[in-house]
Amino acid sequence: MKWIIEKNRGVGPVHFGMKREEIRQILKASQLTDGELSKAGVSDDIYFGEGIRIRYTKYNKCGAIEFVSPAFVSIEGKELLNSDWDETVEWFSKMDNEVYCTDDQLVSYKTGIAAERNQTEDYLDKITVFEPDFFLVRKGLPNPLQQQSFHIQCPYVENIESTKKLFRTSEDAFKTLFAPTTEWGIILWNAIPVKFSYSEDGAVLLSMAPLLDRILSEASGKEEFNQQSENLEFTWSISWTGENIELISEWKRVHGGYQQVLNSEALRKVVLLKKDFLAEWKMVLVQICTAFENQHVEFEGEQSNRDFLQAEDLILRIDGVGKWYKLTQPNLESSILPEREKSIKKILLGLLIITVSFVTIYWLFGGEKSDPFWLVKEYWIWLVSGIIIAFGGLSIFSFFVRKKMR
Amino acid sequence: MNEPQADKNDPFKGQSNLRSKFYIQPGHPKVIRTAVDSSDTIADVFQKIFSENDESMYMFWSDIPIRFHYTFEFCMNLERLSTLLDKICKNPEGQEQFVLLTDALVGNWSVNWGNNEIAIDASWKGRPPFEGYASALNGTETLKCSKDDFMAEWKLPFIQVMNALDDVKAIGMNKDIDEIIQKMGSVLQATDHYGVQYDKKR
Repeated sequence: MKWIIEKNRGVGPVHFGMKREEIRQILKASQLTDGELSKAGVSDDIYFGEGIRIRYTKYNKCGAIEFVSPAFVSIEGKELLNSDWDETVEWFSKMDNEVYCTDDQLVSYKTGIAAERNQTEDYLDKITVFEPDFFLVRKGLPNPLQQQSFHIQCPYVENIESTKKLFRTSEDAFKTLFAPTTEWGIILWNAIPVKFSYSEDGAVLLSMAPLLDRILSEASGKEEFNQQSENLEFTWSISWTGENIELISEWKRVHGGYQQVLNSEALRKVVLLKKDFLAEWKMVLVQICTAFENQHVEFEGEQSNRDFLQAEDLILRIDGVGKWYKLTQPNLESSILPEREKSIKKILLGLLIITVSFVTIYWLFGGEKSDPFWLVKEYWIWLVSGIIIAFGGLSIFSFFVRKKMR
Repeated sequence: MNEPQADKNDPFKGQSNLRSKFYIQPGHPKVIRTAVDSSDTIADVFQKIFSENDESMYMFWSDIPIRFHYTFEFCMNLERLSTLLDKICKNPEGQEQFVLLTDALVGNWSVNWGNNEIAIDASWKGRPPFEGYASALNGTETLKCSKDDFMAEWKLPFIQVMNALDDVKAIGMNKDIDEIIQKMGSVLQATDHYGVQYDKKR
């Protein structure tokens, strides 16, 4: 079978995003020869006789299609499998000026095509056509070695009521005010969760304030941050320059005793955007400061007082919030509003039908009103005003719906 | 591997009925009120109604947290998980093998239950670079607890899921999803308790 590549869409009748069952119908499941459990536990479908392997995303949808002989694969009239290696590399370089090429591999992210060179001969013996981002982000099977991440999931904080207002240190305040909080907060360090509680570890989190302030204010810098609390003991070597920040950790103790996992070579380092790192801390600072403010907390210790004031200031200065707490999410916009728009369209259509029916009936049975435009001529000012009021009302309604949904 | 640290916040402190540490903390994800299709699988529905950029649920296995994102780990395991829990509810004793899939880990559970107790022998595999994470989990003891306590841990996440499915009118939409809902329902009926972090009566 001849397969024609459509850039970033798929190959022939097989499109990216199709479900496994749909593809099995197209390629006839009876020809399916094997499936292998990939590293993420998602099996690939292999059609050996056709020379095709369908790779699925973790959502069980087509993310990439691999071809070997005897398949015939072409793009824009150029046959790819078994073609001369050097000639193909040159051809791809014209299509994509950022093509990534080694002695035996070629990847063009622009066209969504990767190719492999035969081990002994000078021709191309494997083609992978992939959807944008399949090899880059979480939709596919990412290479975790290239996935560095730092996120914070905040715990739910129960209503805080305390008669005590003056505390010696912030540690005392956390122990008293956050005692009823049963949920754990989670620091997701390179996809490994580390738990913390405000009552036991809150003081450590608050003591981050001066460091966060430096990161926010200074263009570049370096600091070693040592902390220890009930559940955590760690040293972070932090350096930042320009837009990026790098953290190298030495976890000495985490609750559950798995600190060695976090210290492994592949996981101990995190590099991310400075603004993203700061944004992750914002919700933590908001939760802490809100609790302290609501209880009119005061500290005897100068350091705790300074940290608290600095945290309040940081909340105003840090742009945005952490990944889990962003208010506007693209799928929220795209999934809710079309439904609302459909309802609004239905209402408008209903009003139109009622008006037309009313005018027609009056015209047919209204006796002396034989002119079909009598209503418009006599009451145009009311009609125009009505339309303006209706559209204005609907716009206000949709504005509030949008606001409420957010 | 160091011994787990003693913890004053430990939800199991003073609870002799839980002999091993297993508990679940659901996230607080926003439910996206969107249209679902009658041909959607449970995974399709989850991916529509929960956002990838939202909080996760965490399972604590001997105090080691394991992440379950709603748009991946939770929905990918839900059908098999609800079947397993349904069997545990309905049969006074039994034995099952269960595979738990997460982004980082594959857990092979050998589940045995009888006399209102449950024991899970788990072996974990981590995909690179999470091999050490799997080793840490493999270093933990067999999970042993009462059947009621085990079921109670699933109660809140299942209520959360059922409410979300109800919000988007996915209940009664197709046979497969209804079957999962029915199985989750039997778990909810199996115990009056909530998980150890949430049950204030305990």
